[in-house]
Order: sequence, then structure tokens, then C-alpha cells
Amino acid sequence: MKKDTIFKRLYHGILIENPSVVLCLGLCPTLAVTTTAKNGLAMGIVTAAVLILSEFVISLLKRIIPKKDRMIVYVLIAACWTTIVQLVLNAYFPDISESLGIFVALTAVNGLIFGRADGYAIENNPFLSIFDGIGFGIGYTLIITILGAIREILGIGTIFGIRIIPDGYTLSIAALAPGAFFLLACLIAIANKIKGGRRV
Amino acid sequence: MTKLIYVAIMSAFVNNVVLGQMFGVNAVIRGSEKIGYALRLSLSVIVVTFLSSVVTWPVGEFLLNRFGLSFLQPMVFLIIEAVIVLVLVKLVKVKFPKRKQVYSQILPLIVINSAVLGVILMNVQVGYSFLRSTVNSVCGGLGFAAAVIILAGVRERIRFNDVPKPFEGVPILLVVSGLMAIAFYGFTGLV
Amino acid sequence: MDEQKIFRISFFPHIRDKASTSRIMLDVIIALLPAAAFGVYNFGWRALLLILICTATCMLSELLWDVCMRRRIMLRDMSAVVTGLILALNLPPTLDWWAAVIGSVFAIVVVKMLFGGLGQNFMNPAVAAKCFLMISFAGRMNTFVFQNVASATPLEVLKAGGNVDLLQMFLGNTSGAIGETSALALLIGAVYLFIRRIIDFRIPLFYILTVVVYISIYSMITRGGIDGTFLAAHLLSGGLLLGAFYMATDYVTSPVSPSGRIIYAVILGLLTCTFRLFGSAAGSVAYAILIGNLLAPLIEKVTRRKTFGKGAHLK
Repeated sequence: MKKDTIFKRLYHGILIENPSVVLCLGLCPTLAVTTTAKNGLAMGIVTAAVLILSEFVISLLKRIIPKKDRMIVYVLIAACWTTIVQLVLNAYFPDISESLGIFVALTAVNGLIFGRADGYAIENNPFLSIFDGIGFGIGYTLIITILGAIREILGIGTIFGIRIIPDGYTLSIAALAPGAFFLLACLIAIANKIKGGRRV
Repeated sequence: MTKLIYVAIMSAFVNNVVLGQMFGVNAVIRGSEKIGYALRLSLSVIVVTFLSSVVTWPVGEFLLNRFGLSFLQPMVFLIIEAVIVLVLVKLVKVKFPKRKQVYSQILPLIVINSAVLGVILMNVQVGYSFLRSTVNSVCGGLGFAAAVIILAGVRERIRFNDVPKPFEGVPILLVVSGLMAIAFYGFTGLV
Repeated sequence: MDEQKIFRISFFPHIRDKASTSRIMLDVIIALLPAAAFGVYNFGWRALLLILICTATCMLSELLWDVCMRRRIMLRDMSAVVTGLILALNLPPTLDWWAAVIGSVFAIVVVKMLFGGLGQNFMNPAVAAKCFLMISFAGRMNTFVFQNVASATPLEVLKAGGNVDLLQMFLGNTSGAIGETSALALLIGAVYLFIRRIIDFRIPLFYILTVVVYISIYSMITRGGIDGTFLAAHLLSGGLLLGAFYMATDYVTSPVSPSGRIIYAVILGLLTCTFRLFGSAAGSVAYAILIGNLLAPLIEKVTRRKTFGKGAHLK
């Protein structure tokens, strides 16, 4: 029974309720730091880490968290973990920390974390909550890495640093804000198309 | 003086909080359903950002940075922001009981609005002076207001359009935001 | 709510009848012919190539979209041709053909078809595509030639404080985008549009008037007096005439009410001058129009005609 549900958590997070393209949560970092595939991947891992840890703690504390003011508690817990993750990042991966900039700190207010905290962790046991976090974390990371890759290829001409398109023939707008908006819109539309096809 | 005008234009338009720096996109998308709501949301964002910035700047500069605790900025600033929001909610309940309903819904959501946190963090991390930070915050809020109100207007305009099914909902709004971002590029030459 | 819905449907020039829309489009094409012809004369075969590529790509994009989405094929209304033509006239003659293709596809697919097609776009497709290209291919979009030699546009010269030859600017013997150089050709087309009653005089009138006032005030402050040459140069240069008569006047993307149009035109004038005088010269008209398009729904809301009898029973 438990095994089914772990799988279900992962399946949900990665596909059915993919946070980026289905639920459309955590849009800010998705748009802002996906200038390269590497940044996207890094941001995804950071967010996933904070998500998993936050869900775990919230699930542990679920009986003590007051129902009315639970938002504040979520925010504080997310902020705690964000601070810790940021310190780890600064220490061991300073160049990534610099690329991601302020968005690491903004993970504390990432809608994805509150969405899962309120949608799952507050009512379920810690063990499954961890897997909920893993599932949704993977789903999120997958999409923003793909978006980062697309933007990198179109906008700069490389992927993970390896040059594919010669310099001077790149569509710079893909690496800039407008491009991010358009490309994410396309990804979500593709997901909608796939989703629409499956469900009757 | 001219430097402040430069900062003001910079924050509000050239490096628009939502369309340029991409903070608060979620809030803009969700908050642009009705023009009226967008107006109230904008007002709340401007007020909260301004007040938070006024408080967090001294705290960041003189307390955290001085003692090497700058890594605590996100946490501390968030707490300050939450307190300010709580105070504002109480204030609205007392002074404007008629509007209580609406604002008590909007204000808490601002705490998780990355636009506010983003701006007040940037102010301290980039190292702006107090005056510049405050101008940056108010104008950042104005920039947010511009984005969400314009988006609300366009949304109303396209409400009955034949948008292809996969794009209905968030995607087409992102496309609109992308077009808005292109339009705002016109301001880049100004500074 | 319901009256709003009914009211809405009459707003935009929806296709009441295929013939009337295509007739309007045809008139616009005819009006643009002088400018296009002069562009080809001034810049040679490359200009003609770009015009053909843009119009063909726009038409093809719309055709493919309609086919793929299984809609009625409405190419006959020629709106795609107009978009392609206007876009081409806004491009530097030396732009690479593939960049023009990308721009045209963007104009039709993203700005127009994604929002539902003719009459449903909120932003001018050709103008949006021009700005899109300016951001994507900044270098290529900013190189201008005259008689096959790299040459600064009159606007660039003006900004740098140099002197310009007004007569040549009026005739069009200068560098610039394909269709924007000849004030004469553009004005001829504009007269045709007025005669055929295609465009509302308010928008170009108040747009240009605002520019005149703004530049005059600027002259008075910075130069101690109204400099006629400076003013005339600004009116004749850049995309102002092309924008004021052909792009800002697009029914679909500008406010409907007369007072709304005046407000819109004034805003365009203010933005254009601000961008030109205090910002970079490139594309000020285009960006101004885009921002105007964004504000149009709000302007409409503020200047909407009251529904019949509404004021009366409120008293």
C-alpha cells in the first residue's frame, strides 16, 4: 500500500500535476533564471531541496500548526530552509550562487512550496511528504531545465556550455525577458495539448 | 535630483519589476482578472513595499550587515514584511471597515509576492543609499502597478477571443506579458 | 454584463462581409505603394526582396495556421499582405532574409493568430514584429545604408547635433528603413487614405500636433527659441509619418471612441518625443505605438460612451 503511494506521489509530481506546466506555480524563478540549462538545473535542485525539507518539517509539525495562521508558519519554515540551503550553496558552489542571484532567497516565497505544504504536507505523514516533495521537485526541475536548455540554445547558441549554433545567428530575445514569457507559454500549451488528448 | 529621477524611471519602466526583473509574475497573472482588483492589489503592493523598505533598509544595513549576518536578510525581511502586513490589516479593519473584506484578502497574499521581497532584498544587497532604496521601492511598486493594471485591461479586451485551446488560461497571459515586455523595451534608451 | 457582451461585438471590425474588409485592405496596400515603390527605387533589389519575403511569409504563415487549426481560410481579406508590407517598410534594406522571415512569422502567428485572428489582436502585428526584431537582432536592425554605403539616418544625425538636408528628407533621398524615408510618398498615400475614408483624421492630427508642441517646448528650453529646421527635421525623420498615418491608425488596436483616439494620439506623441529626445533614436515610434496599444483597452474603458438612458435614471 505504501509503495503504491510513493509511486503515486512521484507520478503526480512529475506528470499529472507538474508544478510548472500544469499548476503554473513558481513562475518567477522559472522565467528569470532559465537563461541557461545549467542555471535552470541548479535552480530546480535548490527549489526541490527547500521543498522537500519544508514539506518534511511541516508534516512533522502538522498537529501544532494553527489552522488560521498557517501561512505565516509555512513562510517561516520555508525561509529557514532557504537560508540554510543558500549558505550551503554559497560555501560549496559560489559561482552557481552568483548566477542564480537573488532568486535563491526568493525561494522562500515560492508558490510551489506553499502549494504543496497546504495541499499535502499539512494532512499527510512525513515519510510520504518527503516523496511528495521529491516528485514535485523533480517535475519542477525537469521543466525549468528544459526551458533553460531551449533558451540557451536559441539565445546564446550553446547547451550546458557546448556551442551548437554559431555566434551571430542567435535569437537574442530568447535569452531575454520576452523570450522567457513566450517559450514558457509554449511549454504550458504543449502540456495542455498532451493533457487534453489523454483525458476524455 | 536628476539621479533620483533616473532611479525612478529605471525602477518603474526600464527595469520593470515584473517585465524586466521578473519578480512577482505569479501575482500579476493571478491579480489581473479584474481591473478593480488590480488597482487595489497595486495600491497594497506600493504601500507594503514602501513601508517594508523603510524598515528593512536600516535593519539590513546597521544590524545584519554590520554583524556579518547578511545571510539572515531573507528571513528577517520576511518577518518584518509579515508584521507590517498584519499591522496594515488591523489598520484597515479599524479605519476603513467598509473595505475590510477586500484588503484583508489581498494583504496577506502580498507576503508571498516575490515582487516585494525581491525589491527590498535588492536594495540592501546591491547597497543602495536609503534615499535611493526608498525611491526604488516606490517606483518598483509603480512598475508592478503598471504591469498588473495594463494586463487587466488587455485581459478584459481578449476575454471573448478565439484563443487556441492549449493556450487558454495562463499561456496566453504569458504571451501578453511577453509582448508587454517587448513594448517596455522602448524605455531602455532613457537611462 | 450581457449588454457589455453585445456592445463588445460591435467594437472591432469583425468580418461582417469578406468584400468590405478586403476592400479596406486593398486601399491600404494602394496607399502604401508610393512609399514601397520609392523604397525600391532608393535601395534597390534588396528592398524589393524584403517586401516580397515579408508579404509571402505572412501569407504563408496565416494559410498554414488556418489549415492546421482547420479554420476557414480567410487569406482573401489580404490583411496578411498589409501586415507583411508594413513590416517590410519598417526594416532596414540590408536585413538578412531569414530575419525577415522570423519577424513575419512572429507577427502573424504570435501577435495575431494566437489571439484569435483578424480583429482580435490587441497589438499591431507589424509594429510588434519590428520591435521583436530590434531586440533579437539589434545589430542588424540598426545598420542603415544609402546608395549602398553605410550611412547614418537623418534622425541619428539630428541626435548627434549635425545638420540635415530638409529637401532630401522630404523627397526621400536619405538612409533609413525601406518605407520611411520619403515624406512625399507617405503623404500621397495618406491623402488617398483620407479620400477613401479609411483612416480617422484625429489620430495622425493629434499625434503630429503633440510632437510639434513637445519639440517646440523642448527647443524653447534648450535652445532659447523655436527652431523651425529642427522641428521640421523631426517631423520628416524616423518612422513618424509612416507610424502616424499607417500604423497608429489601425482600427483594431486603437481606441474606438473619438475622445479615446485623441488621448491615444497624444500619448503616442509624448512617448515618441520622450524616447527620441532623451533615449535612443531607434524605433521610438514603434515602441510608442506598442505602449499605446497596451493602454488602448484602459483608454476605451475610461472614454466609453454611456449606454442609452444610463445617465438619466441615476439623477
